[in-house]
Amino acid sequence: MESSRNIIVLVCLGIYFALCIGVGVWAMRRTKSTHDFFMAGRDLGIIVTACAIFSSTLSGFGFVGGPGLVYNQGMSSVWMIVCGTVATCFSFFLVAKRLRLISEVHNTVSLPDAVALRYNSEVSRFLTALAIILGVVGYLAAQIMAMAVVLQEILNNVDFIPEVGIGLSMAISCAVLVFYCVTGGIIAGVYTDVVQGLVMMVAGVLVLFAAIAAVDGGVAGGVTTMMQDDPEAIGPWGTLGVMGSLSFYFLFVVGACGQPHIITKLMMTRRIRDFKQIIIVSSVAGTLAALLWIAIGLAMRALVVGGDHPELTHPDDAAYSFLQSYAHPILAGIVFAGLFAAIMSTADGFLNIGAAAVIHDIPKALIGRPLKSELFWARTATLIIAVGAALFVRFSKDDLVALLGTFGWGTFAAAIVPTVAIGFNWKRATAMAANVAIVSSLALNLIIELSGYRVPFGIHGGAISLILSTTLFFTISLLTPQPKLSKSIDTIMDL
Amino acid sequence: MKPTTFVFITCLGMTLVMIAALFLLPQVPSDTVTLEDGSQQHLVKTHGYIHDRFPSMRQGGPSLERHGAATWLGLVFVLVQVLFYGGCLAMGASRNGRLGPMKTPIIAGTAVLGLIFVALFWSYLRYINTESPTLFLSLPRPTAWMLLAVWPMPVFFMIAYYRLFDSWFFTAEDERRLEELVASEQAEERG
Repeated sequence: MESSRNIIVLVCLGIYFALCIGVGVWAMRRTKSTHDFFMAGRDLGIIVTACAIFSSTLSGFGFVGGPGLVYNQGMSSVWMIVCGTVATCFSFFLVAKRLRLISEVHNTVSLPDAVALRYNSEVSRFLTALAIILGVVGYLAAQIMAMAVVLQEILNNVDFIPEVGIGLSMAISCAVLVFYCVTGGIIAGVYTDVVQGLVMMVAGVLVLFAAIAAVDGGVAGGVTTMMQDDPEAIGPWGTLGVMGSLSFYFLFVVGACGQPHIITKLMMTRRIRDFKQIIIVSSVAGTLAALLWIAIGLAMRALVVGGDHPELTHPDDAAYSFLQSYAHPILAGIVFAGLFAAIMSTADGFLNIGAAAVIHDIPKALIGRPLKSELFWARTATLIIAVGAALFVRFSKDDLVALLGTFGWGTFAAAIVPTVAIGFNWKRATAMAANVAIVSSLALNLIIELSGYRVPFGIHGGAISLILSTTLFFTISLLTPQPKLSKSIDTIMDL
Repeated sequence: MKPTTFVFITCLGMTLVMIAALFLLPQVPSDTVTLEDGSQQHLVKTHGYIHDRFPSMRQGGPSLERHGAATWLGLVFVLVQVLFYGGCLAMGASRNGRLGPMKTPIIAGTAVLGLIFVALFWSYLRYINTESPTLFLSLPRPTAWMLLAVWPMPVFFMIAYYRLFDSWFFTAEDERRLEELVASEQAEERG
């Protein structure tokens, strides 16, 4: 049974990889310009955009690290999920319409393009691109590492496959990712997101039922077991406590509209009017997919505490152990495919915005124009970034990758939320304020992460840098002369 | 008051909360434990510590005692957060300084979210001081507030966005102005 389970998981994964490659080939025919490569020709419908947004939000962290955090901390990290509904409102109320309008009027191909136009500043463009590149390196490295570890685990559990090393599993998973990202650019990225999003939604719902069935006494039984062990773990603040949990809530609500790989997709819709449906579809779909995070984490904690399952060696094993022990083989196969879907949908977004920053924004900021033959360089840059990130993962210390992965969300949030979410809705905001907000957020996040400083009460360092950068942004804008906006930006901000 | 001024004030409020948490409030309780090598480690239990039976997990410990004044600071933090959210949504929804039909949904929604958090805190204090807490829909009551009220409540804002999109966020007149703007930019580019 165990042998056939592993073969079924491998077959599901093989089908999923084949689908990604197929979409890459299909998308290659539709990618004729840089605009197609980075902006999908600004022609995405409601379902595609909604799936692209929510599946990019739930990365490998959501499927591996998330359940592990719930297992480890109890309810504390569930605030990262509960915040999803307000976070979606933030992205649509503050960012969606303005970004899409700028994109249509000025034919922008990246977020730094829009920032440069809003602030009439090439320095702002450069700093935004720099923040994106720094965040992308960490995030992408973490995603590649997650793919490699899971694939290695799956391959090594199949009897007829000889022992596979981490290098080979990294090469296989990266090859699939790079193939569809290089050939089809963001078109391949968003259409694979649809497949990936559907897989994640189905996985989320099915895992919820499997988790309820796995725990003796269902939800009430599991909750009672955890309460008897430690009432705080299943209380609203978990083991981390009130301030730590609420800092998660703040960082993930506000930070969502500062994640460039997510908000860039808001620039790709066919019609502005579609936003009113996209907000609902992406929120519902994201909620269903996130059920996996909570269900597996809590079920594994209850099973271990209740003595029904041996203790895990590492919290991140929660999802893998649950699927191997309590899920039907086909469900396990779907969820493992969903896991790869979550990782790849985030990674392809990062590859795309990273390539745009390298070949479009940095040259534009430094020499005043983008590179010639942009489409060729876009494909080359995508390949180089993916290979570079894989090599970085392969030859760096494990904790460095994890550190940079954590650094990513907080950095994006603190750098981009004031600059884009606030600045695109407030004419008084100045380029100087945006630049200071970006630099201060990068500096503070780096200091907190690299110094190993343990913030009191378990408060997330990213929340502190987000509050600081936003406060600085307001203060400096009010202290510097009011900027003169171009006619088109002024009109866009009135619309 | 303009939404941006309101958001700035709430930002300053959150900065003060962070200053209080980082520099003013002591973290209690704490223990000094002796490690195997004989050295001593100061263990702060405020944000959980290693589970005594399962080292791969953390545990919360004696709840109210470990939180100390942080419980009340947490309530202030989340209420300022909710006001910040309301202010930001108002910023995104305002047109030429006016909130129009979005005024009532945003004010009402913000107030309801704030009240839900107050109820969650109140419920938590009762939960943690009770020997055998009762469950609501199989969940501890404060956790039920978190999962069944805090999580779905913002759908109200989404419904308002959906219903008022065509008449407030992006009207037919806006669409016409956008077309004009695109045409004029294209003409400018052509020289």
